[in-house]
Amino acid sequence: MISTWEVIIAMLAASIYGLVIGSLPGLSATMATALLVPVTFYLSPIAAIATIVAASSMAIFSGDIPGALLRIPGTPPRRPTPTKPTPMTRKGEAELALGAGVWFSAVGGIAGTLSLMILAPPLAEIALSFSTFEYFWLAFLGLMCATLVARSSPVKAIAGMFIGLLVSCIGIENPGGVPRFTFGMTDLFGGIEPIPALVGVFAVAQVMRAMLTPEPPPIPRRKFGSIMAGQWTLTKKYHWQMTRGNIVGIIIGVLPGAGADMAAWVSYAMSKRFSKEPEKFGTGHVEGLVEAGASNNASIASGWVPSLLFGIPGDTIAAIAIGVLYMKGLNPGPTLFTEKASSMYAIYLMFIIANIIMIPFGIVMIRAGELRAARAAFLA
Amino acid sequence: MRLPDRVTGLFLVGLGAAAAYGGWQLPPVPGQPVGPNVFPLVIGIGPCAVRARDRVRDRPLLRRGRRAHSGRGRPADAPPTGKLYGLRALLPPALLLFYVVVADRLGFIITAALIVFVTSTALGARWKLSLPLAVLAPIGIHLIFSKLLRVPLAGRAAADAVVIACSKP
Repeated sequence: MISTWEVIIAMLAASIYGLVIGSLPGLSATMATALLVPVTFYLSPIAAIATIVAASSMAIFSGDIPGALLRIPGTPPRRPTPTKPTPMTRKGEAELALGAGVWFSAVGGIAGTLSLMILAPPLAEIALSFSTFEYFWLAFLGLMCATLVARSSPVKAIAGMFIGLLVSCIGIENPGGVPRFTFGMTDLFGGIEPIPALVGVFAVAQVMRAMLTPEPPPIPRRKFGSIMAGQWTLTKKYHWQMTRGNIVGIIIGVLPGAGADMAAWVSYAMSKRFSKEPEKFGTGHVEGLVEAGASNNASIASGWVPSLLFGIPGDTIAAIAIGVLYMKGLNPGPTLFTEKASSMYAIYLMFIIANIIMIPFGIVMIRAGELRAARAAFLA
Repeated sequence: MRLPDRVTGLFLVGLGAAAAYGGWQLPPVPGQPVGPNVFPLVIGIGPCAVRARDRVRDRPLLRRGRRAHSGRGRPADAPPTGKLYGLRALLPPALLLFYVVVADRLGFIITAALIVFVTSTALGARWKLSLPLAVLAPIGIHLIFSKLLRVPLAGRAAADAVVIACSKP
């Protein structure tokens, strides 16, 4: 299913797109994914999912690049702060920091995918016995997760959830088939389509925020050494931290409403708590970076477990992915694993491929050295 | 631009009340206990309840926050705070409205070129960059949609026709 030219080209193009958008200061992985939705509308289901998987995985990693190279203070709040390698850049170890970012993100992503392959089918079997009552409480839990995803205030998150529910009332899809909140406009009879809603909420809002973001101070440039040098040594030295980061990322990813940011934060805190050198954290010590990097990409893949099984998003990117799944007739639910099992295998494979190609693509992106020009073009 | 919680709270109450009223006006379905009016009614009351809770619980917090923000100094990396600076945030929705109004008449290429130019200039790009970007980006997007995805974009203006004609083999 994934060895067609359409899927391969879509995946490569989405990978480059995700890396570029993610590495532009002020633009988030969520925005990158949301802007892809209109394009996925015209692709086959597998190619559409491939673009979402590839772009989101790449954008999550490449969000660390401006932190290391440009020292941008105002990157979007979605970025997990523990993985920003700025202190290492100050010590002249930007290549080691970014190399660790790309290497441990790829390893974490593959570990998360393995967990998705192992966990999802047995959970789907349990979910098949759910009745209306379980689904009601599951939907309720999903809505309440809005308060967990929120960064500022749970009250504001609940208010936002109510506004979203009000938007979902628009149209004639109700028990009586009565037009609700259409104001006589026939265009609104079908309700608000997911594409404009997702682009509006995640992309336009981000551009509005960028309008008020100040320009960062310029920094001197210097030539980079090898990006991947020393990564194997780090893997051997911090293999336990990496494994722990993967496990924590998988567990947090599976929890509805948690997501990559929370996984990175928890792993960073855990790394500091159990480290033999906790005083070095925050001063350019790579240990926390290894664990947080391994954790956040592991949670991306495992976050698809509640998304695919119950339609409950792990984070905003998973919420967009669920929209695409519905749009493409791959409605989330346990039957997805029985009726469209081949599509599930394709998704597993796409995650593994995306995380493998992240390494060469990430190195090229770090080496490109055109971030300053891109910054000037979009946010200068 | 950051609106005070009081303003957003009042907006929430207004929206919730309007939704609840709109739901109340909807006709029930004969023979069914739950009709199309119930959901908007419940959802409309929600934002009002959130606002009421915010008033009761967070009042001292708001006051403290206001006092904390009343300092004269401004952090070094804070954005400029001119009187109209905050209104820049309204530019993207304004440009979206502009697109809706004029895209059918001017066609996609010209409308998108204007939007790209205004956006990049507002974000601080010099005309040497924003002008070629405004010319090339819409053509690129038009070609992707019309040739690759086979989706017609808004309008049939002269500029769009030229791009389509030029891209024919």
